[in-house]
Amino acid sequence: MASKALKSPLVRHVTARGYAQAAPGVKKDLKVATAVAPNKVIAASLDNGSPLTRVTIAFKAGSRYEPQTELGLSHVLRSAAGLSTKNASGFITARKLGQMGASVSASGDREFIYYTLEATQEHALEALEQLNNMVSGQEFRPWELSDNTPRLKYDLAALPPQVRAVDLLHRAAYRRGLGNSLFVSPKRIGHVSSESLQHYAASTLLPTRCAVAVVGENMDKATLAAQALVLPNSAEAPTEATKYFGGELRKEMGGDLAHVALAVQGAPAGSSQALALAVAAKAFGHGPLVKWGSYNSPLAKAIGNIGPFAAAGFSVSYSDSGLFGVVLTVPKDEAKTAVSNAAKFLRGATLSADVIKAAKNQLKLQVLSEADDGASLAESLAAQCLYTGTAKSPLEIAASIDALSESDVSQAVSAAAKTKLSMGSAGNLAFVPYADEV
Amino acid sequence: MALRLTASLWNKSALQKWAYNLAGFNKYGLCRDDLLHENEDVKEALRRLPEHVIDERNFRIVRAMQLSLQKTILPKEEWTKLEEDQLYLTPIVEQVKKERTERENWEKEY
Repeated sequence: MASKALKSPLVRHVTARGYAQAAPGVKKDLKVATAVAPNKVIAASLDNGSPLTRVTIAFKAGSRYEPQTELGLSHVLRSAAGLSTKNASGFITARKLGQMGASVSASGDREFIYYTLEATQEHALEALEQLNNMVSGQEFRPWELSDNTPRLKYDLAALPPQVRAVDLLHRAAYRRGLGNSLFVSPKRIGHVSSESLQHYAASTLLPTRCAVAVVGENMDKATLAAQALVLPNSAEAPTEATKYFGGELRKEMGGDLAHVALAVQGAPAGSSQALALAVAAKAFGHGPLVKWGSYNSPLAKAIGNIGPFAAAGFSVSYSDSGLFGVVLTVPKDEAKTAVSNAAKFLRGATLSADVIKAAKNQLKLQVLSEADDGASLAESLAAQCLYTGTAKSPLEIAASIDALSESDVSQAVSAAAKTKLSMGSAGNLAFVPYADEV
Repeated sequence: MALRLTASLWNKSALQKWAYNLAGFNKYGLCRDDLLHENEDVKEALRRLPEHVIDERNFRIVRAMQLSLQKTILPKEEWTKLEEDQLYLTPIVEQVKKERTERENWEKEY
């Protein structure tokens, strides 16, 4: 039940969030069914005939809903999954799940927190009961929270610097709301009180902010799972409308490398521009596609022949905004050229038809293969439900990627390029230019 | 039923008060829960107490040791009264015990 926040590489993960779904191979013509259960929880199901059942309970409780005085709550909340609740002790929950061979993980992003259960079909209902116990009626006993601090410290210690750069980028771009860090600040570890967590949970873990997605079972089971959730009906946390500011934040951390994230304003999840920008991010390139292959994406060509470096396009979409840009890791001495060239490329990128065609295929492959992993499929179904109220099947997503025209992509890119540049950088910043210098 | 009746008669009765005063720890300003033998359960329960309660407990214990060392007791108006003696630790010890038995039962079964 360890926090799974960083299980997949960030760049790959963010491009997929919001669209990813997949075509499992066993059955043809799979349909996603969605409905709203009587207790207002949105339920979605995709019966792919898998012997495993995956259930995701997602809440609008990500870091963007944290009050400015209590930053880091959502990180502590997701890492508190599995502690004792009103219904069951943490010990019994863990042992019962272990006895059934089920696993539960809690992960989160800026919008949502996902509790995902994986179990064999015969134990699905029993395991679901444990998941419900875990999610509803959380108590956050102070001594258990203080026992949990090593896990938070580990989460922070394991953060790759690229993730820090992207986190700083969000802070610079949005300041508040979506700008809130995904992670609790080291100084706040151990100082997040049980009361503030309880208050946060009571205002975010609500039926109206919840979606349940079931993969491997039919809609009846999904509705059943949704109805079994006993959640309070208290006042909701206020949602601040997102405004894109643009700006720059730097964190000098030493070392030999500079990690830089550059972005302009993207598109909100569910819009066609978001899909176009996801294609464009693929078109920018994300490292060699063939093992030992050369690195000849447009982005890499724009940066030039400066020795070893890594650069990838990325595109993230949230409910009311998005970011589109580049993540870059270069040796500190080459940072000036690389960052300036990457920024120039982001500002005036022209993508050829062939590149866009390849990128569409790559994005389709990524969407479909990521959804092959049932757990991430369940999570993305739940996320889609919370974004738009319904969920699209994997093949529908692939079809809408196919339907994008070349001009859709280039228009989305040039529209995004007109907005203000944001920059977040971490590592050795000795030669990294400032945002207004590039 | 009889047990419950006895318990309810005992609580807040003059007899309990008499026994409480006879025990004598109140003359050192101690509370009942200050006297619990510190086994594993009690240690775990102490860890769960809020800090100010622990501070008060430590103060009472240190004061009692000081008094005992000086072979003296508190002036009568400072003795702990039964009515003021809150069981601040016992409920938590019970909870810890419950958790321990839950653990032990599970280990026995599987």
